[in-house]
Amino acid sequence: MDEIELAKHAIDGNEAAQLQLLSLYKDSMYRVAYSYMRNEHDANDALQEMTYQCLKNIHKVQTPQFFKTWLVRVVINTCLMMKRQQKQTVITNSLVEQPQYMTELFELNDVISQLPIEQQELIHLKYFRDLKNSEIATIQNIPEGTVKSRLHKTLKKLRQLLGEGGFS
Amino acid sequence: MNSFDKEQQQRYEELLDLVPLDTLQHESQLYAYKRLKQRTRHKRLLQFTITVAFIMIAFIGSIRLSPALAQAVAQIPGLKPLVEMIAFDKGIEDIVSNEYYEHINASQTINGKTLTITGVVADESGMIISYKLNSDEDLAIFKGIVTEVKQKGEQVKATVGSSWAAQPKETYEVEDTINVVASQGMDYSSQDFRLTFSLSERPETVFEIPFTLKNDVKASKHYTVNKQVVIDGQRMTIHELIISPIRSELKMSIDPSNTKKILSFEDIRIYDEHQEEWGKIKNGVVGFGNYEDEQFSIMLESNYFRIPKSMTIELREIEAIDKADDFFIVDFDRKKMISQPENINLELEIKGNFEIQYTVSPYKKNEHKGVFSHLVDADGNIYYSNSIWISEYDNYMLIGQHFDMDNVKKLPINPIKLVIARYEQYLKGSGRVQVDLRKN
Repeated sequence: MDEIELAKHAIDGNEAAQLQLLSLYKDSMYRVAYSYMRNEHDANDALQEMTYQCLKNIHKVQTPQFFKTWLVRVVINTCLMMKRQQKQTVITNSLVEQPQYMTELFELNDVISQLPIEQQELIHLKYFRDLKNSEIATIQNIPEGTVKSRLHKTLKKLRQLLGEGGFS
Repeated sequence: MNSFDKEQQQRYEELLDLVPLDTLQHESQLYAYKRLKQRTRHKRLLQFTITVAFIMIAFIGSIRLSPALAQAVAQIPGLKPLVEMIAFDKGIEDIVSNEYYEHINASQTINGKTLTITGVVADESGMIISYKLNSDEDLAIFKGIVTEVKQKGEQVKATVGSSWAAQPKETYEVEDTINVVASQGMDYSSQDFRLTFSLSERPETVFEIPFTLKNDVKASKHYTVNKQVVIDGQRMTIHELIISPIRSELKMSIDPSNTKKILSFEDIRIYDEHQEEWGKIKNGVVGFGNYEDEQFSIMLESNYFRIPKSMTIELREIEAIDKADDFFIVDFDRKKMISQPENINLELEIKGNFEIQYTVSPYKKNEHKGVFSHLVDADGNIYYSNSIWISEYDNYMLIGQHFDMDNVKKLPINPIKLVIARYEQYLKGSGRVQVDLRKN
């Protein structure tokens, strides 16, 4: 089962497939969120929110091939929305003592944030396409049985989280 | 890419990969899933109850109870919440004085909290379950409860209603009731039930208490009426009166050829031969169905234990509008009103995101209700209004309503009809029907 096939199941409403698919991109979603939000707390909040939006709206994706483009759009929109909300809250001292490369990341993100939203999407879509080290590369090469057992594990975890038999 | 070159892109990607992942909370995504599930579940419950009119009164003023009875009930543990209901429903007083309830006293303790089912009143129309919750935490911090009643492993085919009033600080014990109302009648082929209960802020603590009813359930009394009433030229029929210990149910229908659309029966009373009066249910489930349905029901206080010889049903204050005035036509995309009914005096403003706002003159009873209940799109699909907010001013009220499109399969297609559900305009006159109970 490759990513496109997983996306197809996810769009068709298979909840385990939806979560499996989104967990493939979890690291990258978090990193982009961090680049916009600039602290771990808000980045985690953003990750939760973008996952929520994805799960809620994934049935609207027209074809599995569009999934990644759509995902990036949700990620960027969520970050921008949360940043707008963040402006109204007190600025904390979370920017202190960031390593040099983080400062550089935030500076580049400042440049990106000035661009029209379509260009912000293009930049991040490219990043999502270029992903090398994540699980995405490996999923193409693992047997279908392994994918299925992973789905099964995800489901099991979900049931634990929700308390047996709560929702199906 | 104009202002972001290849080099910058490459460096940005490198830097993104350097963002440490040790601070990533791996549960974030599962929490998002959990949030979504809770939300859709809540929605589903809401849709199930949509045809059940529901009123909840949170504060209790005084309790109307004869001193002798008050003293008697004070001796019986677990009856407090039931006695409190008497303030809103005189039928409950008969239940208490006729001792038509069953003591249960089944409890469960989880994580420092103990839930006890103290008693149950059961009849064919439903159940009133009294409970007591003792907590190690201040109950003032909780905002709601989630309850379910199961029978034979499945949820009962009924509306399970519970209310949770805001508790004052330092409350560690609460007594209240859960109301089960079955529009199709309760099934007692098994008298074993199971109550599931959780505080909405502690979803992980779920009480599950089984209870068994041992007493016989009193059968409802059915009286066929089948009489037509004409008020202000509008015809309506009272078909049947069903009296159960907990409530009476009046089955009615409205003649579809009427010139007016009935919006609400504001005041219905029944009198016995001594002119003693029972009214509409003021707190809890007040009706089933829509007035357009072939038959709908309105709930009244019960006089089950009185056995009057005759009864008079009186219909007063019937809210109605001309059928031609039934709806506004609007276009949400263009934020424009297309047509407004002639005799409805209301200034409507169409906002973005399926929101509307309007001003109306203040309701005489200071009731809080929205004028619109749902919209119908060009394809005939129905969408309900999920939220409403009201601001009161000196000589008008400003009301906003929102039609939430988050969970819909397809957005409504313009032009859209906004259907009027409540409007302060009444039929002239009232109607009376006499029922001889001995013949039935």
